[in-house]
Amino acid sequence: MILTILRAIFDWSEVWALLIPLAFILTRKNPPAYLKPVRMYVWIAFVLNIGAIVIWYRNRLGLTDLPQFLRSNNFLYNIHSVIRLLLFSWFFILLNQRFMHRVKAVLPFLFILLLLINFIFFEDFFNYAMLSSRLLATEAAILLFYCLQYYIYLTIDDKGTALEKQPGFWVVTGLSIYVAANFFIFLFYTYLLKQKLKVFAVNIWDVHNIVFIVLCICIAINFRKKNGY
Amino acid sequence: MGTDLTFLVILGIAVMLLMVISVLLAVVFSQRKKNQHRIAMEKLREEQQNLLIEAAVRSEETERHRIAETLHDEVGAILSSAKLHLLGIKTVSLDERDKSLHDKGSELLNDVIHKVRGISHNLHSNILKEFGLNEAIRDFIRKIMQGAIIKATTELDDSYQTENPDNDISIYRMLQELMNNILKHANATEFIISSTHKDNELDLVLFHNGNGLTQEQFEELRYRKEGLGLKNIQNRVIMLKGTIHFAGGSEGYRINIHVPVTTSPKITPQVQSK
Repeated sequence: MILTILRAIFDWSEVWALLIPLAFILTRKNPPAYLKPVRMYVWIAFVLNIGAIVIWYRNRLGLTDLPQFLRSNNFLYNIHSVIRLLLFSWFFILLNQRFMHRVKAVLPFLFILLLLINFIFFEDFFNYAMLSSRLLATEAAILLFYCLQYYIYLTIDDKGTALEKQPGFWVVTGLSIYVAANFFIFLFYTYLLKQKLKVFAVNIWDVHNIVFIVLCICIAINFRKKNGY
Repeated sequence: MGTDLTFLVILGIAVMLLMVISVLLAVVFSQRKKNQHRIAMEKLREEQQNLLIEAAVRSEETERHRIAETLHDEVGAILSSAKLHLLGIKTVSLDERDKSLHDKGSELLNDVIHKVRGISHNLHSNILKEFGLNEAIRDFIRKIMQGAIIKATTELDDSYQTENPDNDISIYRMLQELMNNILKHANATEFIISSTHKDNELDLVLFHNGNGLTQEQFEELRYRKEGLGLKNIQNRVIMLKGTIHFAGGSEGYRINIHVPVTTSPKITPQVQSK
């Protein structure tokens, strides 16, 4: 019984975890401008994840009254991935760190180009069977690059401001943990399913859910901070 | 193959997480080091600022003494000599008009001698050194209230004994400046200066019923060019490691000065003896 409850909590974590930052977003008055993309991400992710979980739950109940493309939530994960990258790219640009700013400005466009090439020539965006490992892993790699350059900037910046007072520090920390843990999950997820390792793939997705909760908590911490940190 | 793949995925996740944790730790240590450096630099800057203030205050005090001595020893001596010469004139042989001019000149000369002596004593801190801060304040109040319509009261704590005369010079100069400001700008009719001394802490309160300053106005004015007096007050407060607070209410305005009286720098004026 307890295991069933825990399982349900884990399965629905992609929805309820977002309620944590949402609570702080709704109560925080006048957050700094650089948190606008993060705020947008939380709202969009909340809607997309509700959709993904509802589709998953309907599939579990064996309901098939929806159109073909709505019977799989993979396309929602793909959309989520694209939106996450674009919004967090905007977030890193808004942080206004005088470091690799040209690379940071170009990367979202490069990502869109790769996205178009991939889904025009190689993969189906609305693939029923599996999500796009290529898309999600590329997104994780780019976001990881953003996070690492953020930390490098902190070490070379000579202001010596306390870490917790650095703009966006908690968001970047949550995001770096999320993308670092998920890079290999995303990279091998399709492959795991192809290799008939579905049980392992389902279990490893729990790691994704745990780090997603961590990401949500970190975003919430950042929104809780006063004085614009 | 399946075991290898699961191992690879788990290893990959572990390595990536370790990498992020390592980077985070590196950032934390680097930031901590920078923070320590920043604090050390700020402390050094503060010390340098205090040294500069101390030097400025010392040179101001030295200059006051030099001017006071020049006024007393040179200008005062010449004026006294001029008075002697004037008194040497036989007025019996003078007609009414010349006698009147002689008397007027003598009167003006007396006034000048009196004023020069007053300025010289004001600039000099002899009374402060000989009789202490409280007596110097009382004497100053007596002098500035002569002819003024303001009612002044002193309620000074006589348990305070000077431990460092240099400290007292700074406190005295601050009070001089503040009282002059009150006389010039406040249009007050009542003025009370009180002090309490406890546990090596001296608290002075200047209260008046005129138009005074609030803390915000003080903060604003002391950065203005013309606010030299207030800037000097602030410098002396910093040097004494004390605090000053301005507050206003319906009853009147109050200036609270808090000074620790044992931890003070040496600012003995360096006056060369002639």
